[in-house]
Amino acid sequence: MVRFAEKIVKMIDIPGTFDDRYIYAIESAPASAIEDDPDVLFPCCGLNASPRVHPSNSAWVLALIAGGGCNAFEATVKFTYCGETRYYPGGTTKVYSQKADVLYVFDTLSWTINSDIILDPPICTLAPAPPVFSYTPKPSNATVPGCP
Amino acid sequence: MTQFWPSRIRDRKTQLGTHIALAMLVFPAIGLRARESNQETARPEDRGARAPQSREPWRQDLDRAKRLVGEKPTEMLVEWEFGDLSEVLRELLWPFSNWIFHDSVCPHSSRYPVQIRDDVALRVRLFAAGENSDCDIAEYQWLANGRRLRVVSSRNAVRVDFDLDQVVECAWSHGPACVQATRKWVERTLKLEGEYRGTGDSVIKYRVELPWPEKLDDGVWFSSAPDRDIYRLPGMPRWYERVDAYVENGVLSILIYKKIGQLMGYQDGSKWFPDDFRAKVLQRARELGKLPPEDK
Repeated sequence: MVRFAEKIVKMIDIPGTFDDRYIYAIESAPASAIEDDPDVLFPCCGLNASPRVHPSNSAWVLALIAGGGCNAFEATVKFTYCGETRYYPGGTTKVYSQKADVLYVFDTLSWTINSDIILDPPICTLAPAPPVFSYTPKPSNATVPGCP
Repeated sequence: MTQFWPSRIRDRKTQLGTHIALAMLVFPAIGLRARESNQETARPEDRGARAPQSREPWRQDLDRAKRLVGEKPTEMLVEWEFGDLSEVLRELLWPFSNWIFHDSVCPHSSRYPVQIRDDVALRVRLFAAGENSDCDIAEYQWLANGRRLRVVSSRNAVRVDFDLDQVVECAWSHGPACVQATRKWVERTLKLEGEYRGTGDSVIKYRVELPWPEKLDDGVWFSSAPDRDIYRLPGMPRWYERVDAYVENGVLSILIYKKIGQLMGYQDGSKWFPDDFRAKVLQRARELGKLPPEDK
């Protein structure tokens, strides 16, 4: 989807740089965004590349929860023009100037039951523990870069 | 299971366990093989081949992967016209075909991608999941490079079947000549070497190196990256990061994962078809007597 969006932007000749970036967080700093470049990182990406296991229960792994689904990251378009940067999370109408705001497309950062020990079909199951962090309140959209 | 084997295999009284053990002895260094040439930050564990720490986790992965496709007996499948498929199924076939198959193998016209080429004789059969279990399955068969190809897809994985009965060199033995000819067929079919285009000018060159065994007897399995967790793969466009292969009933099956990179794990395979389309498939299955009539 990000690659498709990039091609559209190029077709209509919008200036600026356009990058595919994956945003995620870990339990020790749940409101701080970590930014992965999926075209460089191998293996790829976010909590899939480096699963975070609960310190006292190895069957629990960390996930970013949205609508009941377990996510490893949020794929975003990172658009930079005349020194201003905006993040456009995929599948949303959001636009943010800070990458940490992207995390707020999720409901929570939570421990989940490791899918390795769940029989098919794989199901995203929350571990019986409170969320590590709740992404509320939601930040408002940033303005579109206003430079000439 | 012997009764299901082709007679030529049965006659040879193949001892499955012996062949598996031999294959593991001869090919101990089955390691990560999908390499990316422009990776400046490759992690140490990605450099060179590594043997899996034990055979069992890999086998467990393969068993799970096979369940992701959700094979059904052919008599359960319902014939379907390609043009009558749901839009989602038709649209999904094209990009995925272009990613994994060489252009000459893709069933659709290179000039008009919305059209299926007449000369490939495409046949589509479907299985719709019931209320409680199973995967929605689409089976595609077509002629490619003079041989019939069978592709079985679910929401989460796709299996490309190479029937060894179609390989002359495999008629009497599944030994080195058969392996060589089949390998050539697979390599002419699947884009095991190519380029993945990211955003901007990013181009990742990849090569899937399958550690081919000495024989393609039933029970053999091998993987390009046995120690990559199939639940942590990065996503469909980078399907080449793990490819598995195994032989059952004289058919070499290549397993390719259709994971959504952003998710941790796979999706519910029983919800691949849109609901209204699933209802049509179930209705047709009932009409054909493949399912009991619906309770009123």
